[in-house]
Amino acid sequence: MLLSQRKSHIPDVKIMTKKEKEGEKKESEVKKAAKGLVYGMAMHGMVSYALKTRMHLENLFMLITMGDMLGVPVLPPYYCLRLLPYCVPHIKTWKRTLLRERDVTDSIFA
Amino acid sequence: MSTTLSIEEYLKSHPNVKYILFGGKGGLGKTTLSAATAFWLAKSGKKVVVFSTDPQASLTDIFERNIFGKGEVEIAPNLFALEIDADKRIADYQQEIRRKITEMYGEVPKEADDYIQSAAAEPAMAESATFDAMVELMTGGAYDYYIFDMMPHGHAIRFLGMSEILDAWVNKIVKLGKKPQNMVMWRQL
Repeated sequence: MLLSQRKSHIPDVKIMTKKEKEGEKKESEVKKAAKGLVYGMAMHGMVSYALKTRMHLENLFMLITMGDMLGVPVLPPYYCLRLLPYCVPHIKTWKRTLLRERDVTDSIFA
Repeated sequence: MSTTLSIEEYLKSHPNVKYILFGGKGGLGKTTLSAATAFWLAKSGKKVVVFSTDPQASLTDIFERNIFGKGEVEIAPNLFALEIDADKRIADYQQEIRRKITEMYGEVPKEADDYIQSAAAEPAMAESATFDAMVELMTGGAYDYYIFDMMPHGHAIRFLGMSEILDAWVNKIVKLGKKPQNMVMWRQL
């Protein structure tokens, strides 16, 4: 086997000096900070709005499938029971969200 | 010109017919005719199942065999009869849901168990269980003919109409269930 062929098997490892490593670390931190800044300025509002919408939609979904649990009659629960195993982890928080008392401040801060 | 056709003539002129439903007011002869038709078809070599959707099923009386809640019972060669015990089916179904929850989370939380228990007392649960059994039988496709001895007319119309309501409802919840999934992409940003 030729030496040149054998060489090709050795991965091309870049050996970095300590200084270079520190430089790269700083660069990644700057990148992270810039990303965070852009996210905070432009995206955060949208993301939290989307997540809140998702929460409301999920609560609504639970209400129209498992409404009987809170005394809201929906269709015969024969087929809802089939979904029950997948809803078990959310039952407690869903009940709390739907049944908690609401006042004026909710509409301002929620 | 007479417009009446015997069942034999009708089935001969419509070879694609697979499902036969006998409906009408109480005492008209639904059970008698469904049993007779099933017997006649079985004798002519077709594999037939006769299913009673009536909660007051009387196939047990007509075949003089106790078939209530025993699944598909062979009455004669090629002739199977089925009388559903809706209460038992619901109980089995509840047990199945409990088993699944235990399998997934280790135990059944109290609020889920309360719901499973109270669900059995909800209106139309027995009908839903019968309906489910009917759909299961039809989708199984093991028979040449499926004969349904329906409950009295008004009840039967509502029973069959239930499929339309369930269909609309399922489409709605599927649509709503998909919406939050689209929000997942926002979270990944």
